[in-house]
Amino acid sequence: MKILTVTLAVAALLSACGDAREPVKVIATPRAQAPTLVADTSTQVPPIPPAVPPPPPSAPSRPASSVVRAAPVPQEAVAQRVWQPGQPNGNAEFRAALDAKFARAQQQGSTQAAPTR
Amino acid sequence: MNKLVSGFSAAVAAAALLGTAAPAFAFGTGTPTTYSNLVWLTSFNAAGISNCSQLQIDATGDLQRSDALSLYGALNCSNGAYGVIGGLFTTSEGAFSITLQVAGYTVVCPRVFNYAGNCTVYDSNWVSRGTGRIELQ
Repeated sequence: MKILTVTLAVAALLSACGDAREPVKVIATPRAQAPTLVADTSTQVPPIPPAVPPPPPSAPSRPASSVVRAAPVPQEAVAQRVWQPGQPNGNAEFRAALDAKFARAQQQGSTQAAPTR
Repeated sequence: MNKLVSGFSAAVAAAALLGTAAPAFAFGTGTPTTYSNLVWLTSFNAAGISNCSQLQIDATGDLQRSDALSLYGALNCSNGAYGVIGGLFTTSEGAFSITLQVAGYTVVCPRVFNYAGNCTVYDSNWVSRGTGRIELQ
């Protein structure tokens, strides 16, 4: 019984194929499609950053030979407090301090200059 | 790892701070002394200061630890006084050198022996404009 059923099925199939007049429809598979272009971000050129504004112009440089020294501002004379003879001053203390320093320097110099055996 | 990095950064920062502060310990500074109201007799032949006969200044410094004093005061002239700043340093030959800035000039007295010496007066371009003499009163 089974053999008969299979035989009939095959026969029907063969007859159907033989009678087919319609063109075979080819169903495009995704593999047959052309590959879509995908941007490769790894090799993409980064966008150019916006232009940085140039620095403000500095003072124009001059060659050294052409630099002109500015004239000094005249100093103003002010009211004076003139020392008068007989008034105290600090000269004596100043002399004593410097004389002591010179004496120390001379002593150190003579010590350093003394021959050592 | 972050703790390690932050610890290293702190160590570097501390070392940098120590590095900037360290040189201060190398100075042998002391308490300066001011010698006030020093009166010098002066005479100059440069224009503008030829009528100035008295230099009245203070001197500040530490002669125990250095060879220099800062000078400041006035040059008294017949028409008024000019402010003075300058410096003094002692030399190994028992003299001292004085440089003063006054009235647009730089007055250089390079060898002052026994509290008296000759000077040269320079303008701002270091052109000699005259000579002079100073002597401690």
